[in-house]
Amino acid sequence: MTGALHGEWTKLRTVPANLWTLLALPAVMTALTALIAAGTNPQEVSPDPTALALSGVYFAQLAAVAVAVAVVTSEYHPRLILLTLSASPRRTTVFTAKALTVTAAVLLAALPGVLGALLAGRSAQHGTHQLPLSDGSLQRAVLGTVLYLLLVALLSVGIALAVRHTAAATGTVLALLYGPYLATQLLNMSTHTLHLVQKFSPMTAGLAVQTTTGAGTAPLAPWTGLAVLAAYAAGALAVGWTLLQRRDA
Amino acid sequence: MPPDTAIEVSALRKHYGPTTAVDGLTFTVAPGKVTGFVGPNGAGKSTTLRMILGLDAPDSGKALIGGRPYATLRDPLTVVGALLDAEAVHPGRRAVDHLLWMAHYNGIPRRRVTEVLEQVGLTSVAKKRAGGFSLGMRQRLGIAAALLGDPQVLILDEPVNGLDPEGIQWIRGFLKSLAAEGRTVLISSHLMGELQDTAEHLLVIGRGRLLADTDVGELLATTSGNRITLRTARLPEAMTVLAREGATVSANAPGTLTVAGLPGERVVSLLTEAGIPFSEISAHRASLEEAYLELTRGATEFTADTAALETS
Repeated sequence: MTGALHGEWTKLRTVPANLWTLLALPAVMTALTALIAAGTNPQEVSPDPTALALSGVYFAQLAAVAVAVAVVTSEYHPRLILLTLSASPRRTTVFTAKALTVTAAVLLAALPGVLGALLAGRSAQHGTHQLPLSDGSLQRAVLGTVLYLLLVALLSVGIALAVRHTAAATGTVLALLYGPYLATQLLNMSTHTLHLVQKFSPMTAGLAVQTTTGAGTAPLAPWTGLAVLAAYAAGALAVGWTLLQRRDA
Repeated sequence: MPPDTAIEVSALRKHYGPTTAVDGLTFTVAPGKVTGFVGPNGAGKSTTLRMILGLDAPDSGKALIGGRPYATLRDPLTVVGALLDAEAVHPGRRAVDHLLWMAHYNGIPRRRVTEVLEQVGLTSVAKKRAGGFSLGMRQRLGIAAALLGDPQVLILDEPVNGLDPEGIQWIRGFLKSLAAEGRTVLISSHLMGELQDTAEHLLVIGRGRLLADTDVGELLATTSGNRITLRTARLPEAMTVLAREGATVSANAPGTLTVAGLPGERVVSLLTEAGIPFSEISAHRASLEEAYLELTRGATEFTADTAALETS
């Protein structure tokens, strides 16, 4: 297992595109959050200044998806998987090494990203009432956003293992994340349907973890929402693992 | 005592949908010599190699290396080195890193990366990205990857593909020297000519079945038969004279005759008596190419006339 981890980590860090994408995550997250927060009217009271200070995640998650998908699909075009599975015929080892490598890499990018966004978002919303940094719900929102990014990355690993194609995998993940959200924006639906969609869509449910003002509109409790996303990620990983076991290389 | 490093394949079978790719293959590859694995395109060579390496699961039968399935080997790159697809390199990764991740996977020391790059002659481009490599360079990088763990068994699928003449010379000598050290070397090719002067033993397959499992020398002797070739300007007369005495005569090149069924002295005296001038009389030596064509006749997946039918 140590060897496989060392090998997978080496694979990830020796492709410059992966490093740039990982670097883009904190950069985009911080910059975008600052822009969004600065664009809000200081006279209006934001419903949830903390969630707003972390809103760059809507865009920054693309970097997590891109790296996670690339780590898997780069095995298939061209077929590096032949070499990987020759080096480690135990496919569960390869699966675990890939999932852990992606988790570690996204964690390294998400920590500065989330903290940077929080600070940038708070200073951009000058004049509004902010929760103190020691506040429990604020800390939960911060930790939860980091976990959200990790779960999105693991969801991507699972889907990429199943479809084995970069465009198809990225498309599937993005449809799953943004599809229901766009539907709620574009379609006229009853509050009941709206809440149902929000409860079961991985992005909206997962980001419920960012709510710090009890009056929020999210139909799910913060950790429950993140658990919904975790269930999606676990399901995708299970499918990906099964197919990796069953299929010819 | 050296470890047992033979490759044993028994009753191996594999189908993809309605196509039977490998149809009950059984053979053994012995250490200490280069064994050629030949067959037309689509004969099932690559599928067989992938099954030996545990990459594809057989429908039935088994493939063992040193008595064990590949999947049970510990740090397999140190036991078996394989080149299956020279294109299997990430274009954005440097050659040295391509070897480094593989080395890390099996706990192979970093200095081996430098050594194998040196061995295949890629030291000067070690820090270049593989995306810019020619097919020949990728082939060399693939061979370097196979050598990384200093394995006792080497399995190379079409290793000559894309190499320049100098590279072909190099790999022939190199493979022979590896076999001379007692290693098991299995190389596949769809061109028998590529294996001439390299392989000592041959496994010929067609449509997933074993057509021949033979020593190269024996195969050549069988195909050559007791035939004689000679040159003459008066082909039709020479053919008539010899055929009358019971020989099977064929003209397979301008001014050249191949005679079977008559001893050399008899051919000489018959032609001399008839006053037909001739030259360059010699015992016929079949090329491996001829032997191969004879063996695979009817076993070729795509032949010229079926291709013609499809395009008409």
